[in-house]
Amino acid sequence: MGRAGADEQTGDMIARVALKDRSAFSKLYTENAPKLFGICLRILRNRTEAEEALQEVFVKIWQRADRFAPGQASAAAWLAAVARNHAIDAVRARRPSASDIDEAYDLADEAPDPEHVAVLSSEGRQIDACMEELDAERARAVKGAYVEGLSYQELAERYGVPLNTMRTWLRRSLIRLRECLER
Amino acid sequence: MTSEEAANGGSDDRVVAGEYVLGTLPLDARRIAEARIAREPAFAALVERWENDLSGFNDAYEVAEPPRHGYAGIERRLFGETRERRGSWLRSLAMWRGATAVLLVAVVGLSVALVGLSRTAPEGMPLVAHLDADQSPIDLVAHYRSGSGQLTLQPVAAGAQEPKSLELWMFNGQEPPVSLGVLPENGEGEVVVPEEMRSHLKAGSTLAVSLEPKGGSTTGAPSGPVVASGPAQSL
Repeated sequence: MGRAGADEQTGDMIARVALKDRSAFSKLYTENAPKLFGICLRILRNRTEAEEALQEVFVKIWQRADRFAPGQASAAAWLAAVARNHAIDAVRARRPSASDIDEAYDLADEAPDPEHVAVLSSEGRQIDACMEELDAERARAVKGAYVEGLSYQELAERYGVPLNTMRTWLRRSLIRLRECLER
Repeated sequence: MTSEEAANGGSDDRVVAGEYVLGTLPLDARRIAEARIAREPAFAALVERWENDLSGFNDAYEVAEPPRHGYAGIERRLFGETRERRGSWLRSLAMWRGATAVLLVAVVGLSVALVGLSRTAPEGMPLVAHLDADQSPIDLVAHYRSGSGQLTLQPVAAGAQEPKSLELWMFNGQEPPVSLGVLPENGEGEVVVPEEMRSHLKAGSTLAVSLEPKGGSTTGAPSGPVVASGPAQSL
């Protein structure tokens, strides 16, 4: 079965879970827990916490299955979003960062993106093509934020730039990605 | 707003939604974003779009063998003894949204008419409902007396039973938040804005409700999670 067919089947299972079908829930767990556990482990970097998170993720999936809208979202993407959001909340609660959400900062001396370097093997997905339009280091920061659940502070330390610079990088990258994705 | 302004910290919702999905926001900003997802379909659509667009990154996650008794633990949580305590209708989304709506209505000082409850309640019979939602930091306990029509909402921290208060805050631009008072624990939800504050409360101000220790924040600034927020608009 192709990826699309498998995703449709996962979507059907989520719909049955929304109707409180416990056998569908059990099957959904068997098929998806390894991926979602991988997400929890990668973001939380702690096995005990990831095990706890996995349970909570499936509790949420049971409770919120009725919010999944087939056709609008991929089932696999929806499940991954539940797991990522939970793991990121947990990691943020563990390591609280400064809450300077909308602090203004200066971008005036920012040079335009110099060159476009491929950072990802393209499988023909639009996001991959758009990532290639970003500066390579910034593209890596975007993907690191997403995949590892890194905060602005952690990214700033990893790339050796001030916090506000990192925030600007990522915000500018998001704008560029959005503009590219809408082309 | 131009792209440049947005990168400089303006409130381009495309960027805020992207930051939420990326996961870089601090916890309190994530809570605000989640409250907006629940309330603003346009913002929720932006988040969903990012989730789908960035889902290709999920290939970077390797599968890992889950703990042996993981599923049993989930079943115990969902279908074990806790099931009796919290009936499924109580945790339904519709109920929670209803409770949120009640709070928001209370915030803007409108009177609340909960006619639905009175129809189902035998005359004079007190009703109690425990309103909870998994991502919310608060649960609400609603007590309703059909004889008097009086409905009280008591906020409690999720998981804990100590009473809490909901405090209303006003934000104007970059100025520090100003408390407009603690919401009373009856369904009226009316707060009289102090006279000296009235000229500051205008279209463009943001109102937010935070969960605080009983009686209100002791620090003069929100100390608990923000449970709801939104801009004030002219009618």
